[in-house]
Amino acid sequence: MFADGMGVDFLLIAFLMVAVGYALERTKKGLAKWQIRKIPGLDAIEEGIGRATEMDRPVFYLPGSGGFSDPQLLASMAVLSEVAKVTARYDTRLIVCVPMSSVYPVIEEVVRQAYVSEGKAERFRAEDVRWFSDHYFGYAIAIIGLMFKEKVATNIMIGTFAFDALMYAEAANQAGAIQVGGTAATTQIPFFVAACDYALIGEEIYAAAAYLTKDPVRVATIVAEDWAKFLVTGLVVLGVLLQTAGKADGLRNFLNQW
Amino acid sequence: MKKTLPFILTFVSALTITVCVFFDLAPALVEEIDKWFILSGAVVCCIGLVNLTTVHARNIKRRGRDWDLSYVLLFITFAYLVLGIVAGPTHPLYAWIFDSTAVPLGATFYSVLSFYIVSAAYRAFRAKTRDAAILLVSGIIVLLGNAPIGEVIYPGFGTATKWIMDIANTAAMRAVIFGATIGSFITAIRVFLGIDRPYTAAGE
Repeated sequence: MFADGMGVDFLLIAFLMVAVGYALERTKKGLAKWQIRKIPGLDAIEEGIGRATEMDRPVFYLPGSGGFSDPQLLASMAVLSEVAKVTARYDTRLIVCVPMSSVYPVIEEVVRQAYVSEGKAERFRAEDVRWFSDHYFGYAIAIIGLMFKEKVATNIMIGTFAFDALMYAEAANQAGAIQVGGTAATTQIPFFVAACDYALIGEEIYAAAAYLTKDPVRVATIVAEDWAKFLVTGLVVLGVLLQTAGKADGLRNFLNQW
Repeated sequence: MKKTLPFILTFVSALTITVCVFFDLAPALVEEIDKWFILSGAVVCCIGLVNLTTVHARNIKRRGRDWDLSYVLLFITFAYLVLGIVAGPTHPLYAWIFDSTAVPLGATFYSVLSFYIVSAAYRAFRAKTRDAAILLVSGIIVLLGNAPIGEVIYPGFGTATKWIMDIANTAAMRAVIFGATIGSFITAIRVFLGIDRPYTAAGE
């Protein structure tokens, strides 16, 4: 029935879909009022934009190097939309640097729509959504140069980053910017923790849009995510107990075959 | 229409691929959708070049900051583009220009990373708080455990490093990976159901 090795994946997706549906239903009926715990890194975004406004210097946004098949880019675009709305509200300049030309038109549209939704369409500057090069080093050099040239006040980096994460963070620090960095790339999280004022770790970037908008529908999906985590944690505990008892082969074979 | 059509396309494509991949149905259809995805990416590629040209042409026109460098950038970009189109990407001159400029410049730039690491480590390892102090001590142990001199100073550094990396570090990283993976599933479901529509400013 299932393709080889896809059974467990399908069950997990099905569980998530049912959980999301259930959480949404309870939200719509007003049976539950979910809340997300405080995430200082996300609170700092508005604070950073306020700082940029006071200093009359731009806010810098980097969406990472992921393409459309990367969920981190989708999460980053949702955050960018909220950031652009706040900068539009405060009349603060927002510079977005896009590493891939294939992503560029969509990012530009996200920023434009955010300005339109705030009734500030005339304040949108298409030239502030920048593409420099698809070549990694060319992009990184241009960004670092631009950070110093524009004297950025706030640097927000959310998405997939590689070795360049630390370069941007250090350059922005030297330019005197307050920084919020977030990624699910485990190799880069330590760099953000070390170099940024606030770091979003792993799943926090996926919860960012729900947290910033406080939209009950989005918050409900985060609740469903937590239920899935409980399920996975239960499986981990079960696996540990079975392995300790020397009886994990059956479960392992089942998961591998399915 | 501008909002509904992208949602319908996203929903139908995602549903088709999901069903086909999980149940091993119509692999040719999945391949075809993949090709369309790649093709649509290729179509919008030149838009980046349009942005670059617009920004720098405007800078030249206004005699803005470093406008002369904008000239240089546009000249190099289009000269190399024309060379690539006329001579082809396998032409020796085309390859030579890339290998003699972009490659060494990239390597030089990459080497700068070590200085950034030192600078970031200096800031991160100042033991101002309890957490920073733990980070500092762990960092020193791992550093000495990996350096030959560490084992000479104290033989236990190797064992301690192995414990930090294999137990504490791996456990924390796996927890992050679990959370991030489920978070990415949820993000995909939000886009799939149209709750998040990043292509239309997050559902506005």
